[in-house]
Amino acid sequence: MTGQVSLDRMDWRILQLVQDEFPLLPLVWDAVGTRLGISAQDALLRVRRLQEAGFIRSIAPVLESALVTSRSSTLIGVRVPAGRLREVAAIISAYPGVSHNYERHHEFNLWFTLSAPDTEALDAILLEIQKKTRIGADAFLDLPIRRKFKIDVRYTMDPGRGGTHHGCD
Amino acid sequence: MDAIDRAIVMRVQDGIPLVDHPFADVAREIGIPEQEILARIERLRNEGVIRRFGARINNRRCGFTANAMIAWKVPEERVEEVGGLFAGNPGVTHCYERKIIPGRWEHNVFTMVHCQSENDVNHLVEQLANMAGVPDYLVLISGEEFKRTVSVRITGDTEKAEV
Repeated sequence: MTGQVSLDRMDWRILQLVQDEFPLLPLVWDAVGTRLGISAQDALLRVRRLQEAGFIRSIAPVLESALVTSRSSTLIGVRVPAGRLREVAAIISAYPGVSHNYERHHEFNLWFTLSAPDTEALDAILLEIQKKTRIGADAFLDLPIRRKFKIDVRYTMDPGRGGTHHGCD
Repeated sequence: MDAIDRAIVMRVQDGIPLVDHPFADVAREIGIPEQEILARIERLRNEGVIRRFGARINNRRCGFTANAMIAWKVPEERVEEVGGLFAGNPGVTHCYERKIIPGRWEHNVFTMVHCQSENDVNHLVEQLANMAGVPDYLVLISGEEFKRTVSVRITGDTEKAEV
């Protein structure tokens, strides 16, 4: 776990800027600093601290799956018996093809995304998971995508409430 | 994508180094000029291979602790229209149509929303339902996060398609 770190208004402004408009320039930190009225060194140090404290996962390209990979993927919902959620989640998370795995408050209480080289491989992994978890196929929902309408994972920062319980001046 | 594009993406897909001149450092590692690396990233972005380049935010850490998947039951002939409406809402980060399983799961359109409280989630969902005129939906609030990794990655082998 990451500890308590208090963010000031400038930190929140930096988070918003490096999410929305990260400059693709040789002097990135000068560009960020100029936009916010701070020095390049201060900009870099703040971004470093925000990443070390876990507010930023990474600064990286977000790739379009259809253009960089030919893998098949699906979303699976599972009805896990009460009391077995963590155990079953651990079995599922161990597969490298599982990228997201969440508890959700519903009769189907565990949902994960799975990818594999093709649909046959997907089905094989699914069967193996059913065997390993001893949960029957009737407790699994296999819901592959038919149409994509939107993927745009960006947030509007709210310094007043987000992040920590203190230190937001 | 050629071999150099691929080398660049593989090097930066888990994050650029947080140093004074990140692109110069990566360029030196790969053995090309800094201007070329920037031009190639720009080109990949224009081609749509890179959807965006920037910080991936840890939403829970930044206060977005009420996250939900909403599954909507949308008549087949309205999916295109409703999908477009949901996609146009800035509070929606993902919107997909998924296959149904007749008799077991018939909610076919999925959206993800990220808010600061469950109250905000419910408010946003009501707004979406009214706007699209879709009264039949399920709100699945996220509980524990067991795993979260970057799902779209380039790997060293040859499984990805050439662009």
